[in-house]
Amino acid sequence: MSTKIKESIRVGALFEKGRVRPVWFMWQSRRYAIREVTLYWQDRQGTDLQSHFGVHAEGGFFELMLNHISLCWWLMQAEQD
Amino acid sequence: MQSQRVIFHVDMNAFFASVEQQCNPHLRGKPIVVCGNAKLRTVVAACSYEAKAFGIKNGMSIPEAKLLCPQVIPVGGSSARYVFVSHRIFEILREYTPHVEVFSIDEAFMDMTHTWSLKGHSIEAVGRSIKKQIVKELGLRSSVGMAPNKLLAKLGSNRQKPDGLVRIQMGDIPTLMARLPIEDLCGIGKQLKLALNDLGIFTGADLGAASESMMVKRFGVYGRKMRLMGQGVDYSPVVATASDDSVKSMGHSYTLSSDTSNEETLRGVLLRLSEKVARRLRKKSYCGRTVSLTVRYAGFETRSWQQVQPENVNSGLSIYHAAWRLFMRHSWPLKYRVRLLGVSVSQLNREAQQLNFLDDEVKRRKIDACLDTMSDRFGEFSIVRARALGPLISKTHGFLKPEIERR
Repeated sequence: MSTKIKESIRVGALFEKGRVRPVWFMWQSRRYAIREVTLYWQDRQGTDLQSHFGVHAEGGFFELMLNHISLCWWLMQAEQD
Repeated sequence: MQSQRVIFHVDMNAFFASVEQQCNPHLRGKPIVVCGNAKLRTVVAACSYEAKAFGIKNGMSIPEAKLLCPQVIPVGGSSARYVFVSHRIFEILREYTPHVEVFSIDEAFMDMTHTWSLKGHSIEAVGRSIKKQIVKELGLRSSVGMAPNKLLAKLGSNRQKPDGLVRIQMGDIPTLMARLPIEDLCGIGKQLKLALNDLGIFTGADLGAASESMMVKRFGVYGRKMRLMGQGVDYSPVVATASDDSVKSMGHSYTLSSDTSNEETLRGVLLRLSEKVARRLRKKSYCGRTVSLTVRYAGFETRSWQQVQPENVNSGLSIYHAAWRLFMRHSWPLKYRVRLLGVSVSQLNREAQQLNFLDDEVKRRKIDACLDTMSDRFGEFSIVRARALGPLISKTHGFLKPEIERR
């Protein structure tokens, strides 16, 4: 069962060919290596553009979100193994 | 000319559920149903093939689905996710031809007559290439039908699911129609099926062989069209979807978290739905003349009423007042508690509102403009009317579009 989190987190990401790809993130003092970006989508919260990434990492499935205005990363939900 | 056309119909398989399964690997291979909000009481909007195997169907309540399959996993839907992925799919299709007609959020027709040979050595190879590209970029499976017209292309994509690739040629029509139940033809629903069955028409071949004068007498011009459908003939063109000029109605519905007859709750939900419809209308510079109300009662009986308004509307309050009048006229006092409410506006046109210099109307438009500015800046429903702040009303969930705008 996935749990809503919405917590600001640190993310390591690659910016290449006009695309962004998260590679790892830190959550609860643990570093998670991302194995696969399973789905990418965007939406808007008011004027703020947000990129969402469904990611499969060691330990489970997570949804990360990058706010393009604040350039902050958020962990939106987690489903741990 | 008919036989020279090459039309593709691309249909995503169990779209909403497949997107959820692609996003979350834990859901893959499992029976899941997508609903408005997994924690609240909503209906099944879509189900995975694994759930369909248990007999679960769209529109069932979650308890009904659980009766059929206790291990089914309800997943709260995300319209932003589906809309984004859908747009990406249509972008991929436009790499093959500019003539892409979006038929719904997860299916489209493509006129490949002049472009298929640029993309592959055979029509089937192009179909395979489209499927492969969608899997590569989005991880989603699709069914592709290829035929000389839209009717047969759609029939083709429906014949093999999931992950199908079917080509129908003119020479296949007699064999195909001989055993095809008429309800498999796009455009023949339950009521038409029953009416045709009454006339002794059960298969595509029966329909194609029916007397034209009898069909026209019974069904009007659509009778002639249906007879041609039975012969596998369809002259309708693929109309490239570049704008939303053909949108005919906009609406939203909401399943309450528990059945209620509480007037304040019903008013609150109705106002929220009306504001949401109005906001979408204004965003696309539409207003509409007809307001419709749908009420589903506790026993699942569903009733709809509509009324033409004296002038075009696109304000939440005007839509709400019209919908509430319909509710009071047809449904009050309540015999049964209410399970779902839906509001829609049709007869749409582009901002053809009369200039109105009445103080109240000017004030109302100023308030709408102010609310729109705040919603644009801070997000939908960052500010709402007090009546719409009911405790039973979910802010972001459940208010899903009942369907993509009807075209």
